[in-house]
Amino acid sequence: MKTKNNPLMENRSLPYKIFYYISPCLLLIAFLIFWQAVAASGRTLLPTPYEALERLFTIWTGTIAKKPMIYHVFMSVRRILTALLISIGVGVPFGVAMGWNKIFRAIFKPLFEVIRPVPPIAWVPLFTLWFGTGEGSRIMIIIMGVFMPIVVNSYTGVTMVPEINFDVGKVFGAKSMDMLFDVVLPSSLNAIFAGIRTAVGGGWMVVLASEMLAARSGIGYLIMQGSNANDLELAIVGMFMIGVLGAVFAYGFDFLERGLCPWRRK
Amino acid sequence: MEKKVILEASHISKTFFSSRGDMDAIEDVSLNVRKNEFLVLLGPGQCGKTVLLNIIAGLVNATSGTITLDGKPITGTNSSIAFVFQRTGLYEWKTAMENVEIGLKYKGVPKEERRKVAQKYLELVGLKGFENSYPKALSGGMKQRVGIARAYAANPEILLMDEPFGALDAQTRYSMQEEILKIWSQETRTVIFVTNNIEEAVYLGDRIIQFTERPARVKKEYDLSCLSRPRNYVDPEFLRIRTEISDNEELALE
Repeated sequence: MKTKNNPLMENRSLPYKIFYYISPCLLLIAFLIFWQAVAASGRTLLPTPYEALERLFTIWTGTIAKKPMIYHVFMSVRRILTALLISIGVGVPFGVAMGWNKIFRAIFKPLFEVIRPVPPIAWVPLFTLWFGTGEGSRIMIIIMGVFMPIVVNSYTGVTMVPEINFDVGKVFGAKSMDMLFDVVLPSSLNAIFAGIRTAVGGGWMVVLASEMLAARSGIGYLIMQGSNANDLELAIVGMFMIGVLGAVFAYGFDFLERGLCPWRRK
Repeated sequence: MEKKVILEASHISKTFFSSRGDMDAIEDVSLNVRKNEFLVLLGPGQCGKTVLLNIIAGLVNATSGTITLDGKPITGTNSSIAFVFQRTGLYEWKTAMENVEIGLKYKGVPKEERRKVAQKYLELVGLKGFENSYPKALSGGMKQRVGIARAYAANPEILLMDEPFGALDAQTRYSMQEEILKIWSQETRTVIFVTNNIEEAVYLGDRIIQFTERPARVKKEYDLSCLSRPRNYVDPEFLRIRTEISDNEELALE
């Protein structure tokens, strides 16, 4: 039985176990019933769950704005992944350098702290002016959203390395580069990954916003399209796709982290 | 026994300065450490003996005084001095083997060679079969064994041990005391061992230097060469010395 591996379930009575596993399903069913009731009342334009589900399947065979559904999903994923890769490639070394080197920190931290609170969307006018309304501009906006948490977490991770780790390094003769790559980086990997996870969440928000503002493709465009054409099913399908993709991303990063940090495996 | 002095601390004082006032941790401590002896620094908790050990290791600078190793003054850390930390300080992202290797790794010893040395010391501390375990999977006693193997593998002349068994439960502590003597008799090095436990001090030491409460000053020195090894916790002579030391100890209010 499955409960055998679950420590929460040990020494629990049978009714408790049933309640534990049944209640989330009940909540989901209640949600669907509520949705169905609201949709069937006819006072809103909300499609029923069944209609939404049907649309979810048929949408893959049709086209939106002359492109198949898969193209829109691909465009959104490509935008967020491009922005993420650039931000990780630049942001992690930048954050680590800020935590590691006092001079570097003294020079860059004030500027960084001023830029940090500016919401990514606020950059739209500037970026549109500089880079036009094309793909580059959109990716820059997304970078503004994902770059900050990655830098902040890498920086915090490095400054939080326990003092004893440095003492051990010193006693056993670690040179500066040993200390950085063999001690500081592995010590702060956890925080760096936490930053990337936060960045992915925030990243989706910015992707959507940038696609809603000015784009002919992407999931954000689908949702906007659904809104403009009174096609709520399309908007709901878009929302559902974001949920699925978000979960896929979260699992992907967990998988990556477990691969990179074998010492944290049970 | 060889009487050659290997390390000498002379007139060491340490004051920590802070905005809330200065704190004297060590006051004019001088001591000699003889080659291959097991020297115990004994004192009440928080008395400053750990600070002294950190000064010898080069992790903390003394306010005044000098440390000489083989007659030459030293500053900073030194490849001839290794450290066993109370909280083990193992790198959790490295396996037991990789942890033991770090001293040699940072010296630039090729991988194959340092693996061989690390293997030898892991076996010496009784951890054969745990080479690829991460610290998270090891018990407290096993972690400290890795810490001891790591210090040995760096091939130092002097091993500093800062209350290495302080965080262990009583039973593990006794077995580790026996274990450290066994290791030391097989691979004899100079050991400076800090503890606040009188029984542990009498069980382990060739010599005990007793410190006062903070600021730490040398209070008394005991030569235990009259006690043969292995020692017995309930031997009358053992108990006599233990009582003598304990009568001299000030009770620390922690």
